Amino acid sequence: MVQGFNAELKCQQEWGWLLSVWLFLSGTGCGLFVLFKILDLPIFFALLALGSIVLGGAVLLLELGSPLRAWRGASRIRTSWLSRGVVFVCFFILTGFLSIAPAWVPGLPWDSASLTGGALGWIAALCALMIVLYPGFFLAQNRSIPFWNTAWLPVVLIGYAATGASAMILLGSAFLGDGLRPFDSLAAVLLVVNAILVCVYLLAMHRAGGPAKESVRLLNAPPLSWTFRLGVILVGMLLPLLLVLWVPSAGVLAGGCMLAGSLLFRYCVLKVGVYVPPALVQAGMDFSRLNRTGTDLEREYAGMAAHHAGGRG
Amino acid sequence: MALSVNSVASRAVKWGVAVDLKRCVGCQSCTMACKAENGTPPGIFWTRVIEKEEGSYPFAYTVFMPMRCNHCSDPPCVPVCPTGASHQRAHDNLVLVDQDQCVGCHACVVACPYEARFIPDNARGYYGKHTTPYEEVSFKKWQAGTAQKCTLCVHRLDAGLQPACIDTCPTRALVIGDLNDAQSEISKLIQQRPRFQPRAELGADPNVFYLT
Repeated sequence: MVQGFNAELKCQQEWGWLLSVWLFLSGTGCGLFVLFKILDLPIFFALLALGSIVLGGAVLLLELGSPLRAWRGASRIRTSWLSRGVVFVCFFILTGFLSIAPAWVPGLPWDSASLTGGALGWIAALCALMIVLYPGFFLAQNRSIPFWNTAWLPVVLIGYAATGASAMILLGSAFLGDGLRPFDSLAAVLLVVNAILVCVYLLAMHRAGGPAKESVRLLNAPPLSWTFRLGVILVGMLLPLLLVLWVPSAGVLAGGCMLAGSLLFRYCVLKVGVYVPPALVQAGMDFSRLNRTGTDLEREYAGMAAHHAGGRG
Repeated sequence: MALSVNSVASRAVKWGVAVDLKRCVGCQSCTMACKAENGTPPGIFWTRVIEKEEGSYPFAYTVFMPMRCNHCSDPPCVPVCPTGASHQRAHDNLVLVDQDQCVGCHACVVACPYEARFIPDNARGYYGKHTTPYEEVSFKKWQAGTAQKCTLCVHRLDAGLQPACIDTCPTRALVIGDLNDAQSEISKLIQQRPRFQPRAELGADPNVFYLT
């Protein structure tokens, strides 16, 4: 990386695709696990959710500068949302697998219908909910990036987690037959709610002004404008909504579009994180001599010339 | 130059830096002194002088502003660290990184409002794969893939010397001292001169003061 030597509005350059993929896989997977518990979906979806988290975790390791020390990441749960996230992920994977293990491993002292199995499942669902929430809290903690430093961001990430989960259900229904057709309407409702949340979030940031407004502007300016307008809005929201409402047979396509939009939204949010710029000119700095008019200058130069001429004479 | 600090065992030292913007000429001596002292990787400058052009001819002027870690009293980069690698020294306010503990998660880099933290991807020198003898020695001071930042030349401070950037400033625009000592030069300067703390509204209580 190369540091800039000029004072302008600058975006963060540290996070990009790898963290976006983690946010996408963790949000979608955990949203799916919560829906699996609430809606009593087939166990296939729990496996899908756990697989997403494990895959996302592998991608997150690539993001780290020193991945072999990743185990240290859980040592500051008192102050760091990242540490808390690591703990939630570990608990989720452990309790999630244990809750669905009786389906394949006979002879375990609990089954999914027992009190222990149910408790394990709900603990996993609670951890999944926290995994959906913690990146929002973590990003919202950054006072230096106003576009993230808002309570709207965790809310929007919950919306995208739920939308992504419903997209996974649409895709899964293709493998499991037509028994899940009623979830088309759930996907449509979540898409509309999510679109409203995104609009409110962006509107709030636009009205906030300064770096937050600049972030919204960057979403609509090259090089991100195509990703945001085409990927997030058209492919990620409008097209799947039309497909779900009027072309029920295209559930797989709608689900794929929703997932693509979900990934791209996270990428866009990360890439337009604009820092509060350094204030070079502050109140109290005296620039009055620099702001002289041409007439003032002419008068001053004439005075100086007369002074020098007088000195020589 | 030796550092003048009135040591009192019963109270902690609160290091601060005053930057006299009327004296800074934007020569980047501090930038280069820091690089030479700390052997930072290519493209990474723990301290640097940013500049901005204002106005237009014939009323154009340039504002210079040396930027560095502000060693904040309430540093936003410390609580976000998931390993405790980023920490604040107990007996003063220096914000440091234990590179043996850092996982390179970039959380502190993003959290710092002053863009004063860096994570080099590799340990390549300025001349490609082959490092110079100077780079071979100086690159041992940091690890690739972990966070690094201005330490206010902690090795020099602990030896009673000024940080390299402050020692080298030709216009004496930079002053370091103990903010807890009312009689220190920096305390007097920030009492007497109009000043501002960069992005103080973010609540980090930075300990770099810009005198205007």
